[in-house]
Amino acid sequence: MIQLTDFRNLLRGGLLLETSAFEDLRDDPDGFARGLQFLVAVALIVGLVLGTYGFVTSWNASASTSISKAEQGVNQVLEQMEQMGALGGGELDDVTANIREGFGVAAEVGEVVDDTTSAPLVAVRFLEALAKVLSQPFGWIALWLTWGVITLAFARVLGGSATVQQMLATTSLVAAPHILDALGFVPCGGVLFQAIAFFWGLFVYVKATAVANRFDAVWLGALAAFAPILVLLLLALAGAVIVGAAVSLAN
Amino acid sequence: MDALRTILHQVLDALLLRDTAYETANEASHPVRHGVAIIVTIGVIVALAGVVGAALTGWTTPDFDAIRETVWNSITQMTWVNDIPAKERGEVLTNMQQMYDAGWRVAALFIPSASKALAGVVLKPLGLLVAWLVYGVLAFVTARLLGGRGSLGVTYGATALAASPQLLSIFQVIPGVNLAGLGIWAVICNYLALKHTHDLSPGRTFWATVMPYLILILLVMLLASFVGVLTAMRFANGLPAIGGGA
Repeated sequence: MIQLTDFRNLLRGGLLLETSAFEDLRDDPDGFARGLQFLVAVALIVGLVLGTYGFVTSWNASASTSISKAEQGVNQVLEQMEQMGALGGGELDDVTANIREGFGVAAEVGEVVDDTTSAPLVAVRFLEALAKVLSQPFGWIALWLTWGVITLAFARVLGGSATVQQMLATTSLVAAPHILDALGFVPCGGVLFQAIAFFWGLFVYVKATAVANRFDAVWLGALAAFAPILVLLLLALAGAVIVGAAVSLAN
Repeated sequence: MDALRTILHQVLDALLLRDTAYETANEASHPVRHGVAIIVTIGVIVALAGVVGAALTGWTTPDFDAIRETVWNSITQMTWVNDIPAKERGEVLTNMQQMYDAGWRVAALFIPSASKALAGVVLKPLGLLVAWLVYGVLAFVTARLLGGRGSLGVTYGATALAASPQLLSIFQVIPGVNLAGLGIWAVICNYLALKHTHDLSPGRTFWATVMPYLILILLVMLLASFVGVLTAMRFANGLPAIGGGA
């Protein structure tokens, strides 16, 4: 298990883009294991905060109550739209009638869910929160491994020399700024914290790619990290051009 | 017990991408037998976790048949049903119910149950074994074509370690846990296994790792197309020709 001192050092090194932290992970024969434990630790902290918040706010919310709340919210939006003149009288009647029927079905299903679930509601909500906490590291690992392998392939083309373990070890520090994701539950500000973490994470990723591959210039790291996106965009563009040309020829 | 501990230790090392795990696999005196032991151990542990997970899922989820019935009853009571001409209403509703029931039957395949979980104790290790046997031989052929030097037995011994990420599926004891990333993790383990077994350059090892997946995807697509064509032909034979009159 990762030691607290090591966790703290990696967190600081990742946040402050300290070259030594990246090099330390790259040159450690067990760097992948350390990087994985660091990433999982950060993900669990984030998951634990968000899962606990979710549990505290909804531990006694039955399916019927949740549906009723959702219906109230939709009704409020419709009223606002009516006041703003976005919906006419006739249109509004049709829309609200359809929505009301939809919520009627949902309410009946909600009652069945509440009546036929064997476990007490608090146990269901607790297990849901636990699943959310445990899912957090898996989601991050999937993205980290997938993007790491793709970036490594591009870095190799650009003359990089990282092994798969070195690449994944250094890029694990991308998790450091994402500790801010734990504040995602804060109303309004939560999204801002997540956006900051995302962009901060991009800088960390570029640095990690450059250090892992021993690139002299950081822009090579940026190119390797973002080239997959550029290739995908170019492919999409080429596809759109081909489809457009085919359609115009057919006409 | 010691053998189990040794296997789990090696699996953990392989999971953490430690080169020693793959080197040890290459040095095994009976690599295929060792590989089978690894795969079956992982399969049984994960399947047993699945049994607990299915029990917890059953405890925390509602009765799906009751939901199916409630939704259908609610749909048939909606106002749009009255817009269907009375003559055609019965037929339309019958057709709709057939499609609705078919949809639920497909959904039921993915709903965990105790019987499915118990069957998994046998089927999970068996599935992992078949996947390993197919991937192993394809990877061996590809690696050899690219200049690899490892034997089939050693290839099997090392690629068995790519099942290591599957061990994390034990977290399915908690219903609803998202186990993303295990597939790509297995690909990376296979890359390391082939790198250590066949002594290829990183580029060639990459292709030796990826080609079996591409071949399998192609085969599945061909099979799906074949089944699709057959189904379409059977469907077309059962229908009157377009514009064929009364």
